[in-house]
Amino acid sequence: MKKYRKVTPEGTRDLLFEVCSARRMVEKRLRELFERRGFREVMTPGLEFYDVFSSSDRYFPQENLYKLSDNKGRLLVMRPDTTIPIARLCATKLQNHSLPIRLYYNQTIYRMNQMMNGGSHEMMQMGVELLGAKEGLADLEILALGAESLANIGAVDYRLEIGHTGILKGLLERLAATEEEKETITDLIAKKNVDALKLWTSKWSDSPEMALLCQLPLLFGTEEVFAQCREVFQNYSADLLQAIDDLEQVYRSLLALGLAGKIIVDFALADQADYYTALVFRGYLEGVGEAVLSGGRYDRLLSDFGRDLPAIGFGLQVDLLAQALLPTETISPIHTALVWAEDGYWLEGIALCQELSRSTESCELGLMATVEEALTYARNKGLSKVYLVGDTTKEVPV
Amino acid sequence: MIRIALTKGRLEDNTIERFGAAGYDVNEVRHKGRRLILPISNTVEVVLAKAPDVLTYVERGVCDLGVVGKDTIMEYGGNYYEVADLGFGRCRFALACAKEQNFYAGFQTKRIASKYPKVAAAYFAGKGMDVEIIKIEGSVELAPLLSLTDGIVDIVETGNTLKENGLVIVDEIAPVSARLIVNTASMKMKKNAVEEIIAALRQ
Repeated sequence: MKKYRKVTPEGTRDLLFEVCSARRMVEKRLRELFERRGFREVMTPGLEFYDVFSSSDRYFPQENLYKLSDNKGRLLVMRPDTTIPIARLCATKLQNHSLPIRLYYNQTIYRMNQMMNGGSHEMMQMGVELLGAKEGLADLEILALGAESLANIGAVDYRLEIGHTGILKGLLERLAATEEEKETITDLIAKKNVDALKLWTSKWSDSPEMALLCQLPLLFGTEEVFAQCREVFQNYSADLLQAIDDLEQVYRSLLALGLAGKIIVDFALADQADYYTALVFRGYLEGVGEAVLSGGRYDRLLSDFGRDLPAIGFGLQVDLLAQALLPTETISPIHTALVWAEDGYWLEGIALCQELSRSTESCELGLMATVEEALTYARNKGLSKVYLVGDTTKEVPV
Repeated sequence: MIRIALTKGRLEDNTIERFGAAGYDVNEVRHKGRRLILPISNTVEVVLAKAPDVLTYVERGVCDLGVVGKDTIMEYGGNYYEVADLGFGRCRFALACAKEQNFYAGFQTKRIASKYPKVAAAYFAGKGMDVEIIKIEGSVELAPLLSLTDGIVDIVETGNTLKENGLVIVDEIAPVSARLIVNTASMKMKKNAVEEIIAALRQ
């Protein structure tokens, strides 16, 4: 049975030439940015025990994980996320590292997508994690770095969207409902499905929390949202008003950092990973139909692994960024010269290639039998010159 | 430019009516011939597609909004905002079986015919009941009549088809109507333009 010999599995693809260059260009720009800000790279294994992710099963439902078993029959998964493995790593290997810890990663993640809608199952993600730092300055550092990452791609306009999970969580905590009901409410809010929310929650019609929850999906936009939000929440509870104030403080600081027009707000960012505890944020690029950046503060995730440490970070979808970059960058051939050696001068040909590539010039070794073929080849490929190696070495323009 | 995908047929007609009432120029859509992309203003164009494709186009961001039945949303799922119940295209999901039969009697694993296997599976999973689901493409009512299955899960509008074929409703599963969906990024990047369309279609 070899009927699958010539195709790649669903959700995977071969990346060729300019697609690779675009991806590498995005990686290079982000890597430089992260390293210049004192973040150091880590790599985590492609395979992890299922147990590492099983506590976040709302965000990582088991049917969306690639699973296999090891030689002792234990369940493994192809990593669907990097933040959780980094939490594991910090709680174990970096116990004695001085705080804060600044890490970045650049690796593929795997998530199965049941719909055949052309979405990838294998995605290159890059991101940063800042561990051991409380909110305040650390939040601003990471948000500003997120905005800079998007601006650094440079191709198109972007928006950075901020939100706060404290409001939704605070309301749900005070609502008399079962966990399952709360999950349904969260899903409806995440979908901004106000009509269904009102209909489905009619049995809580005299609950002030539910009245507020029904308004939450509409509280998004720019500056004006804070006033709207305060109006909705006035007379309700001081700690939620505090969360609104905190978010506005962050908003104003980002504006003062020169990000006017780039920052938007959504008080119902609820479809994020469930390990986020306070500030959450997402990034969008013009013309890309989904968020390209997603992140937030996760102050309780590390305690799942036995270490109590506040943390914040974000991840970027490198493939989507590269796609946005692709049409705007002209990706020229990497080498410009052809080296062709006559019979009997093969070794000199190779030596010249070595010499050229030690200087700044890049070249390709010609494997053609005749000079004419070599020249035609160089012309077709758009190379600018040919070195003919024989008794003497001649440089010929194409 | 804002693009809205409409489910061809009745939902399309109802949506176009609302666009017309809101002052959009719907003449071209009314006389569309075989064209599939049609402008209704200088900044809005309509795309005509099959129901599940509406979800795909909106989720992948090639269309900003879409009008599609809740039945399709329940069957196919996906990641987008579902911002309004437009109120038309009303019907419901129901479980039905032959008139003379008591569906829940006996211990045999039940067999269910449906055009909506995921909706049927989710309904019985919610009841903690194991069933065998058989996907049928055409008239689902045939399956119990031919004794292939014990019942059907299907959308029911008036109930006439069921009645004429000797079937009765056992359970109402969920109400269905046309929904307005929005791409998650468009909602944020094109907020004003998207809200204008939501307002026009809500009425």
